[in-house]
Amino acid sequence: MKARIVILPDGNVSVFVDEGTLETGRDAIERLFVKLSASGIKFDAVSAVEQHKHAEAEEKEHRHVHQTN
Amino acid sequence: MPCDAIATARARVESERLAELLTDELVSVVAHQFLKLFNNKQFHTVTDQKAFGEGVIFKVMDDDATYTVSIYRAKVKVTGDYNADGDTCRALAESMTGFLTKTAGLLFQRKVSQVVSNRFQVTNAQQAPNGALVLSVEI
Repeated sequence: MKARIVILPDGNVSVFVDEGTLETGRDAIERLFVKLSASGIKFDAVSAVEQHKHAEAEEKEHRHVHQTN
Repeated sequence: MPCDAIATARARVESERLAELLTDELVSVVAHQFLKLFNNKQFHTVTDQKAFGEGVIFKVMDDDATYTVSIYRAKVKVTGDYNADGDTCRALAESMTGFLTKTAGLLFQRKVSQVVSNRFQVTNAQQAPNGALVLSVEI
């Protein structure tokens, strides 16, 4: 399952799953965070898994840290 | 939209926990070099002394005064003798705090990246202009 992990130097980590369903994506993300925690990376806060889509009106102004263009 | 995702979540490590990545040994090396280069090599003498388990203490001297730099993880305190310049104390403390905070951030990125690489297949790694490290992975 393809995903993107965005790691910011301020301690924020975002995960974006690009395949499957919301349910399979949720499972994959939760497993990811469990494995990261088991490897010694202790997060102080983890958000709920949600779907991420933008309305057309937002697209023109929207920026994400992982966009490089 | 490139950033649309089937599923997404965010996690955060607080700055104090990031600073735990700054061991006394690492701070000793990094801060020593920083002090030598600070303000166009203002300080001509730097000595270090470890306070076991309580961070690192440096004595630095410029042409006029001696400064004591106490560092615990990313927290920096600078005091000076009677000839010391208060502005220099503040500037040094702020600059070094910022430098150590950035160092902790880079260490965090590297640690997470290494863990991800050990556990998953990373197909691409890219550094964004804002400093974000973006990993494309199979999870």
